[in-house]
Amino acid sequence: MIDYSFDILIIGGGAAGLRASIAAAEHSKDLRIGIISKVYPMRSHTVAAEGGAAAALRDDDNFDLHALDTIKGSDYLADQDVVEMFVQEAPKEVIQLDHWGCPWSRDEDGKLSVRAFGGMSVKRTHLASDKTGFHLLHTLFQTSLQYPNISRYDEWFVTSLVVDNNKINGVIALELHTGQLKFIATKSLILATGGAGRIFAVTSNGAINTGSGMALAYRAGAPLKDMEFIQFHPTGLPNIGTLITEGARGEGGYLVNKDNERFLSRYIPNKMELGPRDIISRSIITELEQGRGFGDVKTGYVHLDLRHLGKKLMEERLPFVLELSRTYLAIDPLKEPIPVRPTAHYTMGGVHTNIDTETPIEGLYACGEAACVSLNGANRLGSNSLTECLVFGAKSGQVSAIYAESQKDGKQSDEKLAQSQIKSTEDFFKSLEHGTESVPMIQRSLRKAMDQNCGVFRKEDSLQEALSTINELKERYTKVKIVDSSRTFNVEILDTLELGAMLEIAEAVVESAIQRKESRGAHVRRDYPNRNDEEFLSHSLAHFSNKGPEIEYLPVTLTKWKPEERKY
Amino acid sequence: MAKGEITLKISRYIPGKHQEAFLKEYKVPTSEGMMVLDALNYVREELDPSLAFRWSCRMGICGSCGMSVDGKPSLTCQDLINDHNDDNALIIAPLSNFPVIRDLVVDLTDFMEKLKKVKAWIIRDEDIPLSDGEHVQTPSQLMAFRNHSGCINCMLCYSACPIYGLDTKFIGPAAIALAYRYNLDNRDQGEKIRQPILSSPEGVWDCTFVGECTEVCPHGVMPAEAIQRLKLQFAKDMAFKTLMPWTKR
Amino acid sequence: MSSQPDKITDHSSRYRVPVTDSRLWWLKNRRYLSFMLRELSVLGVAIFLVVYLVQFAVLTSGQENYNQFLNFMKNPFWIAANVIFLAFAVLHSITWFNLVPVVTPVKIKGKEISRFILWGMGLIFWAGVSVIIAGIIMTFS
Repeated sequence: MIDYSFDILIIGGGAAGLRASIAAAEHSKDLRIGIISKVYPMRSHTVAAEGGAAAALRDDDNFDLHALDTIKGSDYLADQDVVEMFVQEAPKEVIQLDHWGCPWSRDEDGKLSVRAFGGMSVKRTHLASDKTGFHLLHTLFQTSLQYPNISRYDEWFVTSLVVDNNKINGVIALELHTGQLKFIATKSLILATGGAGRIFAVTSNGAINTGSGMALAYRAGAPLKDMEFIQFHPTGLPNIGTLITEGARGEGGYLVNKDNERFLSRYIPNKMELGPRDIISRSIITELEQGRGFGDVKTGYVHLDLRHLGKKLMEERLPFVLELSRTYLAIDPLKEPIPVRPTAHYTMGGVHTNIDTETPIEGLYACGEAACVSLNGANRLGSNSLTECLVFGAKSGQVSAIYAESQKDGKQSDEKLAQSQIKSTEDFFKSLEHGTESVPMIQRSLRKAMDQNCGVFRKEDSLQEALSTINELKERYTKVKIVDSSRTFNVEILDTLELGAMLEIAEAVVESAIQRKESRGAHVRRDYPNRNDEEFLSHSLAHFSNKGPEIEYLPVTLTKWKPEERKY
Repeated sequence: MAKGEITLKISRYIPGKHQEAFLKEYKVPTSEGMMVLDALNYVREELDPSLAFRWSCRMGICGSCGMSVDGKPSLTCQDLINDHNDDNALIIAPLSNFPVIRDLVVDLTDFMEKLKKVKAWIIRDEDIPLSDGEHVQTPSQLMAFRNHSGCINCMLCYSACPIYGLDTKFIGPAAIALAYRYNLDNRDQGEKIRQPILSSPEGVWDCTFVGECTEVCPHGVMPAEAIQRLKLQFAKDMAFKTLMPWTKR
Repeated sequence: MSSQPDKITDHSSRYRVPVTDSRLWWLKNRRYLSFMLRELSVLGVAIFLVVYLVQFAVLTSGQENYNQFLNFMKNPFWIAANVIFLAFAVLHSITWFNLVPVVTPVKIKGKEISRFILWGMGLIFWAGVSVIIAGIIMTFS
């Protein structure tokens, strides 16, 4: 029994998902579009992004420069055709958001303002104060409300994809408010479910960023690409992990060690605080290892000094930084420096797609952080991600709309397949009542293992340790229990499903990291400290199997830019 | 009560299991800088995993974690435990004025419908083409509406509003503030279209300027100010229409 | 089969945590209480209005009625009550001026003038107009 039926179903209501829905709705008002999200769209983690959205709009900028910055920032792992398309579409998206009401910050003449950002050779990061993600998300969300052919399912959690003969039929989803499992049929499906930072204990990510969407595609047979590349943002609050924007450095902030020296002169003297994130995170950890930071390597920090920026600039361009620091640390950035250390922030990897956001499963598309096109390669430049969500969200919406129109109405699928999936999920829920293991305990062990063994610096034996921990936890996961089995808004069931996804994603990350025996971008191995273009100028593809992820390699697409040594 | 420990009395209600809500006690160890949300997560991880509540960003920007703490609407990820008197138990309940789905989770359907009702999006007679570039908007034009655009939809204002508590037909502070935000945006041309909805009995005229909404708002959106300014504007409009019906306004 | 989600339940019929007494919401905090006092203060104005109307009626209904009226007004209990009504009426006017900075914020050189100052200026304006009107009346009486 099909509960609902759509032309295009989008999982995820963040910037990418909402942008896709609007693009599809504008393509044709006859398309039935659904957005299914496990939280209300305004809670999506896009909301926490602060710095800005990069686009080559200004006269002192050009597409080739933005492309080169991005490719170099990616340590030459980005697919260059993707980057070329991205830099050309980016300006249109920023203008489009202005037309939809995004309150971009302005220069005196009323035109869009820009700020400097890490790894960008000219100022091209468009900002909405220091709450760019918040404003972008709410603008997109409020804009999406006006289209009558977009329906939303708020607080529904997709438990599995229904794929028949490598073609999308629909999804099985848990309606959180009632606890019922329903089959939603669709012609095309877009995954816009965000990243997986929550597999780490210290992360800037919100509770919702568990990689559950990636796991859906992974289990259905779509490979995950470049999972070993996890970005650690240099300036997160110690212990808590929440973010102090790169914009603070863009506006002129300094990073200093305990001797009050701007230590980046030792590592990246030409760019200093405006270097790319992976280099700066490694610099901070190295300072801690060599005793020049505050505290030890695991919990220590350095200082982000913003005092010299002055009250006026801070209140106009970085008010959120002031708020966060005062609320969570009781520190006034106008008077004292802010303690910061690297925090797990962005998943460069994700569901493998081509330049048109298509996955190997027919009718399945992916965009935003959940996908790996690949735009960001081995390291993402700050402020490229918000634009990435817009460009590839729009692309997904357009491409899936055209595909849906090409599919005939009528007998969608073999409903027996959906029914059997619903039954096995129900059986799984039942089994939880008789388990013995605690979900929070397993989750805590996983996150700790990832933090300690799969962080900024990696090596073979600690990665292997992480892998064996994950395998042990997967075994324990088969025996988890829940205390309350009533179905209305059952957070235990939700946490259990999310934990299952996190374990699989973590396994893909670690296995990919073990097999990439080189250092590139954000993936640095002490036992293989150099980049190895001969063997590894390729993306890793992790395929799901019952014995664990099977890794194969896909060469990077090169067009104009020959890989060079990444020097700043 | 031991120092470094606090007792939480948390409202529990599981439909099907309970007929009505009741308070359940939990003892939580406290530390410097701990927020109410941290205490709730301790309860969920160590004491009672069945406790349902919403949270995500932990930095006061997603709006998920609004709850009633000691009778006041609060964003629990920003609410310091040490700000409360820890000799007494801290009472944590779902946001008042909303139907409860379970435990501390409330139903937000009403607000989502109201956002659509007030047409909180840019309305223009005609869109300018993308090739024209951005609309020109000076910093002072931006400042005219920017604080009203800072609403994170946390619903603390609806929880604080006694009028909404007595009559859920009232469109409410956040929705009206967002509509006003679009009215003030120089890129928008939809003021006249929003007027009938805002100038209705369930719109601004239901408000009696208690002002508690502005007081509890964590992001300075100032919904009370937005509503009173709209009242003045509509009153002026009505006066002109009645006294000088020939003027075009 | 539909493409719109069913209305799961009519949300107005969902459970609501019962409030002990919804009539006493205004005792919850200081601001709610001062709101109620502000709203009640209009009674002071209303009572004075009624007294004036009675006075006008009585002025045209003969000496005896007028003397009765004056005796009533001189009653010490009534005078005491009048002090309270006057306090309410003044509260009504003072809090009315709170609206001025809310509906018409004034900016000089980009900085907003404090609400307290705008409120104070409103009060001074009110006092000034009152003095002028009183002066005019007394000149002609």
